[in-house]
Amino acid sequence: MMGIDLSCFSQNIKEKSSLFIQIFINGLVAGAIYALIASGFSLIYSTNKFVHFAHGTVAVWGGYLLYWFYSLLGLDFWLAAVLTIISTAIIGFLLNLLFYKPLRKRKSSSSILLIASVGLLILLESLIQIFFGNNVKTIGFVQSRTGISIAGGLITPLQIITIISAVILFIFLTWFMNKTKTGKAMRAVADNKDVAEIVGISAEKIYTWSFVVGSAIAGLAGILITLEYNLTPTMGTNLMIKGFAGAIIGGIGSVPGAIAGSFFLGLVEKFGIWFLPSGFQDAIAFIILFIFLLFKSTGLFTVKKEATK
Amino acid sequence: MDKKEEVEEQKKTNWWLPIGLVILLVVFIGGLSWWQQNKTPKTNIKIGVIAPLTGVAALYGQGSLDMINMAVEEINKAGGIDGRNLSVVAEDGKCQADQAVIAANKLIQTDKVKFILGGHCSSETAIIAPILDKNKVFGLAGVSTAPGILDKYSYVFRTSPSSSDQSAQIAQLAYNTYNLKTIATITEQTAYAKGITDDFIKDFVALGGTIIDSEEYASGQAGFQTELTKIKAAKPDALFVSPQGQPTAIEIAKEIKTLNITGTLLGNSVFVGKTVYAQSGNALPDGTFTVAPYANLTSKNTAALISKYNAKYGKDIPYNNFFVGAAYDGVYMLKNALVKCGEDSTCVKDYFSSIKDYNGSVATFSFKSNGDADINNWYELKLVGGKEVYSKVQ
Repeated sequence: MMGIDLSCFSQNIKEKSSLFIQIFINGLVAGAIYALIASGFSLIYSTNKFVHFAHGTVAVWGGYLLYWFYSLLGLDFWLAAVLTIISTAIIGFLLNLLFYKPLRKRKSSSSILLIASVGLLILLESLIQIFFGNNVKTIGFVQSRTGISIAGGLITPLQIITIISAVILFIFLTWFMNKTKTGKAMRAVADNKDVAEIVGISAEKIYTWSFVVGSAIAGLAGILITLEYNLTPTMGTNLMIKGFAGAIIGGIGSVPGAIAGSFFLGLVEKFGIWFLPSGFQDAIAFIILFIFLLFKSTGLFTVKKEATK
Repeated sequence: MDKKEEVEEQKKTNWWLPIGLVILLVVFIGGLSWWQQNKTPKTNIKIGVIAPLTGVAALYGQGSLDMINMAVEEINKAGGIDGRNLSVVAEDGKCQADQAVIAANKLIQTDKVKFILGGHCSSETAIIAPILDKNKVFGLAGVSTAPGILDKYSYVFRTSPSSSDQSAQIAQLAYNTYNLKTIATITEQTAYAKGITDDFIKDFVALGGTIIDSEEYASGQAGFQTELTKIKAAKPDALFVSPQGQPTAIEIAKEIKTLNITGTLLGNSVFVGKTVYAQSGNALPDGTFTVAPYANLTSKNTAALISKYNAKYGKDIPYNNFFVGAAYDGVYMLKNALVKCGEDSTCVKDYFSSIKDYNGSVATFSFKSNGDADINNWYELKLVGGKEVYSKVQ
C-alpha cells in the first residue's frame, strides 16, 4: 500500500517538475521574442529620446519582406533573410530621414514625435494590407514538428535558435555600446546631446545610426517571429506593447537591460498563468509594468548614477 | 520696412497658412460628404454592409462582401427592383465592437440606409443589433453564431444558426459517437468563440462528460504554449479549440504538435479545416472533427454558386461555403422583400418573419421567432490526410 503511495508521489513530483521545466522553456521563448523587439526599440529610444511606436510594425514588415523574397520570389532562404535585414535597416533609415528628421528640425517635442510614430504605425500596417492583403501568411521553411525533450520539457530547434539569438544580441549590443566608436558616441548622445555635439559628435548621424541598427534588429526579430508564429498585418502593435514593457522593466534606454527585462517579463507572464487563468497573461504584463513605473521607473538595470541624473 | 514691421508682417502672413488649411479641410470634407451622398442616383436603393474587411476575420468578411456584390450585380442586370438598382455601401467593422458601432452610425446617419447586411462576425452583430432596432433599420447578419444576440431585437435577423445548435451537435458526437469522456478547452475571448465553447461545455456536461481544464486567451495574443502545457498536464481524452480567426487557429495547431499533445482534437468551424491543416504544416492529426453547417455539395444550386464565384473572382470560396454563400442568399431574400414592401423596413422585417423554406443556393432557410436561421445543413467535418470528409448529421 505504502509502495503504491510512494510511486504515486514520485510520479506526481516528476509530472510537476516536467511542467515547471516546460513553463520555464515557454517563458524563455516568449522572453526571447519580446527581447528581439525591445532591444531595437530601446536602442532607438536611448539616443532619440522618444517612443518609436512604429518599431513593432517595422519587425512585421521584416516578416512580410521575408515572405516576399522567399515564398513569392523563390530566393534562397538565407539570401532572403539577409535581404530582409538590409531592407528593414533601409526602412528605419527612411523613416528617420522622411518623418522624424524634419520634425526634429522644427524642434518638435517628444510627444509630437510619439504621435507621429503612432501615425507611422498605422501607415505601415495599411501598406502591408494594400501590398500583401489581410489573410494570414505562413512561411513553410521550418516544418512544424514535435519538440526536442530537455529535462522533461519540449522545445523546437527554432525556439532554441530564437533564445540563442536574443542572448547573442545581448552580448553583441553590450560590446557594441561599450567598445565601438559608434556605440560610445551613441551613449554620449544618450547621456547629453549638447555636450556630445561640443566634442564633435554629430547627433543627427547618431540618430540615423540608431534607426538603422535598431531597424536591422527588428528585421532579425521579424524573421524569427514569422517562422515561430504566422504573419498578420496588425501583429506589430501587440509585439510593440510587450517589447515596450520589457524595455521599461529592464530600464528604458539601457539596451542590454531591455533584453534582460524582456526575459524577466516572459518568465513572470508564463509562471503567472500557471496559477492564474490564462486570460490574465496580458494583465500580468501590465501589472508588472505599472509596478515598475510606480516604484522603480529606472528599471532593473539602469545604474544608480545615471538614474539620479 | 524696419525689423519690427517685418516681424509684424511675418506674424500676419503666418496666420493665413492655418486659416487656409482649415478652409481647405472644411471644403474637402464637405465636398466628400456631398459626393458620398449624391454619387448614388436618387432612384437607387442603398444597402449597407458591415463586415470585417480587415483584421483576423477578413477572410470571411471579404468573402461575404464578394458574395453580396455578385448578387447585387445580378439583380441590377436583371432590372433591379421595379427598375431601381441596388447600390452597396460597405463599411469595415473589423470584427470589433467599437468599429462596428462607428460603421452602423455612419450608414444610418450619413448614408441614410434602411437595410444593413451585417455584421459578419458575432462581435459586430451583437453590438449593432440594438442600434438597428432603435432606428428601425432592417438588419440581416451573417457569419454570426453567438447565442442569444438577437433575442431582444425584432428588426435584426441572421442567416446563421445559433452556435447553441452547433455545440449541441458537437457534444453529442464527442460523447456518444467518439466516447470522449474528459475534455479540455482553449478559447479566444470573443462573442463567437466564447459563446460556442460555453454552450459546448454546458451540453457536454449535461451528457455526463467532464471538463477538466478550461483556458482562455485575449485576442491578439501570440504564443499559447503555457495554456497548452497546462492542458497536457491535465491529460484529457480530447481538446476543444475555439479561436476567432485563422491566424491563432494555425498557431495553436502548430503548438499542439510541438508539445506532442496526443488526444483527439475537435473545435469550432474556424479551427477544423484544410486551410489550418495546410498552413500549420499538417499539424492537425487525422480524426480532428467539428460539426457545422455546410452547403450541400451535391445540390445543383450550390454547385452553380461555387462556379459563379470561381468565374467572377478567380478563386475558391475562401471559407466555409455555407456561411459565406449565405450572404448571397441573403441578398436575394432581401430583394424579394423589397419587391413586396418597397423601402418600408417594418414591412421587410415582417416579411422575413414569414419566410418558410426559402430554397437558397446553400441551404433552405426559415427563421425562428428570435431572428436566428433555422436550417438543416448540419455536417460532421473530419480531417483525413488533410482532406475534408463530410457526413450529414441527422
